[in-house]
Amino acid sequence: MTRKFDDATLVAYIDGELDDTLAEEIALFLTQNSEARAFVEDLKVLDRQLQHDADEIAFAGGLDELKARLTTLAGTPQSRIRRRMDWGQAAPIAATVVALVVGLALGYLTANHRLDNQIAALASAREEDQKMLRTAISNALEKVASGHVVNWQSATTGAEARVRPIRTFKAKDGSWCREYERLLTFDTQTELTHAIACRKGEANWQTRVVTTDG
Amino acid sequence: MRYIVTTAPEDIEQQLLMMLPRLRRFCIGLSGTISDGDDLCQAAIERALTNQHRFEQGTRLDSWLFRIARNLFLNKIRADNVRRGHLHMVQNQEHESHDGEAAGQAQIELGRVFSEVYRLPEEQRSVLLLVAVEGFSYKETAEISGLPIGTVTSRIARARQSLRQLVNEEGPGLSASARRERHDQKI
Repeated sequence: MTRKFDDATLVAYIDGELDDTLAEEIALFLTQNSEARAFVEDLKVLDRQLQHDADEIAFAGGLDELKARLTTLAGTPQSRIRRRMDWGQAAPIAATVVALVVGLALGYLTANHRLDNQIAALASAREEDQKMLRTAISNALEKVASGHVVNWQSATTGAEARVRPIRTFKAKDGSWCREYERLLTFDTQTELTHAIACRKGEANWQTRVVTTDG
Repeated sequence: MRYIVTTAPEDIEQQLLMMLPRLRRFCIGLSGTISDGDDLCQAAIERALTNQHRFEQGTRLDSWLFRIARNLFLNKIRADNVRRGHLHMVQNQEHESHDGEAAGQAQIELGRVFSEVYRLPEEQRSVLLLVAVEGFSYKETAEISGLPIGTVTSRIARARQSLRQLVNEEGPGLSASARRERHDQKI
């Protein structure tokens, strides 16, 4: 079976690895070739199922045990403390031992607590993403010509966005406004929104209207 | 435009632990079971914590962590293969968990599609997990794996083709749900 684009190219297309011109060419080709279209659709369905399974596994039973094991690890350095025994100083040593045990226990509890916080911090990382994304959008609107795409990716949560200014116009109050499109991908979900933002100052764009595509 | 989180040394520990769920699913995907995956995940975090100073500022911490996990995994299967006395490694380790009951168990534990990933050769498995699950680009995946980008491109294509075949062979339930999902999308 020969067709215009081989499987590897179609796979690269799914992964967003092709330049815009080639991607558009393939999108057109897929409307004409049902076998290739079925292949691409199959792979996309598989991807979503794979990502869904993977998300469940990330938080499946055993995560707490794993956290506990890592917490124990975080508590170990203190236990390596060695002291030479001198029975003449038994009382101070006993006090030290008690203090050390208490210290270790506290260290363990603190570490465990901290670890829980860090898992919970994923949520605040998402908030941080929102802030960074807003900055990225402002920069895109400030610098990029209409029709061009700016990609953004969070290094910590894996969230991704594509921002594309669509057109520019002047509002009644004299401020410059731009319509733009934002494709946000997080985990397995994607969200496409259209929005209008107006310039409030140097690289400061306020989004006024947002519509989400169905 | 790309934002790379630059990391103060004291933040590295915290960020590594925040990546635990992502690292965990990667390790489980490589290892084929939750318990082996969690062992690998623990070893990788330990290694990263003790080698913090080697992390190159301005690069992606998650890439570095995944690279550590991948290397540990490869070292382990190499060691296992040597111990078993056959040196043809990496290629197609059909695991004992793939007959009957055990395979069914893996499906319940790992999910239908994810459990099939383990039937791919290791070289495809890790590339597929990095691209399709973790969302790394081919270039980033090539850097994590220490491979030329062309190799990543061909491995990911082969992995996806094989996975599609495996899942289609694996019983009608899944294809039916896949068909349904596809149908829903068209509406």
